[in-house]
Amino acid sequence: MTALSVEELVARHGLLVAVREVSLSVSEGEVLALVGANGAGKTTLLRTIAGAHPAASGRIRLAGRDIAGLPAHQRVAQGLALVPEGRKLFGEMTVEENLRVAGDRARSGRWNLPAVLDAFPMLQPLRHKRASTLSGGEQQATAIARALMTNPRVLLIDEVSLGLAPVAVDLVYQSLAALIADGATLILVEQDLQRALRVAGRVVCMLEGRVVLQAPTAEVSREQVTAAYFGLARADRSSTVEGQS
Amino acid sequence: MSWVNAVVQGVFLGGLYALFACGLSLMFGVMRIINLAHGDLAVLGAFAVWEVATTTHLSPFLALIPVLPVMLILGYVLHRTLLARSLRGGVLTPLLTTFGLAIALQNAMLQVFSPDVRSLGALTGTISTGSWRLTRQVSVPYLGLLILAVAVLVLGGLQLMLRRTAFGRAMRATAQDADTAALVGVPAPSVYAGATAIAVATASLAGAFLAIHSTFDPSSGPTQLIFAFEAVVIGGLGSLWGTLGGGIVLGIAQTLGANINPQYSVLAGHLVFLAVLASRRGRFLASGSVAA
Repeated sequence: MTALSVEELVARHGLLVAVREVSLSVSEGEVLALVGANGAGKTTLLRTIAGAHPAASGRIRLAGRDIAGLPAHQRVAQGLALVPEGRKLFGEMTVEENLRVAGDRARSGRWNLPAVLDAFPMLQPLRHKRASTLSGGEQQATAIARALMTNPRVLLIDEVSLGLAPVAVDLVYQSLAALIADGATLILVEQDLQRALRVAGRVVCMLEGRVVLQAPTAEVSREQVTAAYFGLARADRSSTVEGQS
Repeated sequence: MSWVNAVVQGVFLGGLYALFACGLSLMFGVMRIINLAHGDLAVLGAFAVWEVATTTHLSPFLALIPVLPVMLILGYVLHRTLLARSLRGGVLTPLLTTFGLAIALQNAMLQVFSPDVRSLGALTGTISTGSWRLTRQVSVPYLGLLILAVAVLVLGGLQLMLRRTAFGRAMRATAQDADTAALVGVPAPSVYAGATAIAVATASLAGAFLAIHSTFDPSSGPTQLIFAFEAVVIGGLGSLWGTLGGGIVLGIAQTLGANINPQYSVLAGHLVFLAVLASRRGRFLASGSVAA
């Protein structure tokens, strides 16, 4: 069953069209990796889906219901959660308060404070620490846990590993692996192609606001994704070297 | 010894200023709105208590019971109708909106209630006039102690609400980052409307105590706004206990100034305010609020 579908979505930053008629969908329990170079429109796409950025046109359906007209907080109530780029924790509040503020108006579901702390055991000793004092990895874990507290049908995670130490990235992916094994529906933006392909069932590559490649990860090679990533697929295959310059 | 008494009276006066200031501080902290109509809303609350108390012959303290819920609703509606729209217009629009609201309120009250100076003090009996004599020079007025106790209760209650309740957490999250708060399901408009409701109700409470403690008329608002603003700045933005401290420092400065010469009362308060603004913290405040 389709959990989230986006049809011909357009989003602008002033005169710049950042997302150009993008259509994609995720099924329940599917993990979709969204890749693409800087400025390809990945973050704008996720923010538009979540309602943090206005859509110029197009439809966004969550479990069959069009949510494109709803403000961000009502989309959360419908079951959509975004872990924003840069984590964006409430720095003056403790880890537990960050989680609670998201849980206070949550849909009913399996995620509550004890369940989230079970899934992210690293947060247990940090409960009463102020979020601004956490390391990058701890912040990312808190941000994902905070989004889970809203009991989302679909979880969007922007830049999972950006700015994190390799050890922290491993920890965050361990938690994600547990979520995925649990049947969570995820769309994640990831710069690290190898990790993205390993964890996702399907990959969508964006270039200049458009989807240029969409395929199950089992059926694409890393080279094919890289070619789409840099826009080489459209260039003459024999002159790839020139295309790269 | 009269200096000691001046300090004691200043502490009690500070309670009143803190009560005025907490709503102002809350609105600025949560929405970055400096509500220039805060003092006039307080005076409106005082007139509402006056109306209820004189028509029903109730004590002003009992008259507060129906007035406060009405002022809560008024604050909520004020945000939904006026402030929410002006917030969408940028940082300066709410300042102009509340400035306009202040003028409209003052003139409307002048029209309805006449410019007569009134006081609720006479309606409260010995509470507003009596005091305990501690020594020959130092006395503790009943009303001063009551106002200070109410201020501590209100500020403590607000603090507890911000720390412990779901609405308080939503308010703090929205104050820090409204966009991200929306992404975890917190609707900024209703949080803002709730904060305005609380601010208007606490302002009305302060206005009623001002009316019992001394006198008021339709043009009393701006002076109280300035004192409240000074208390907030002296105490440090965003801290409720700091606001109480700021109110008390302002109160003591005024009573000490008055002890030198009654003309110096208000001036002494302003000088302390200016000294804080010129200090390092004042510069930090100025740059901090611009960054926010």
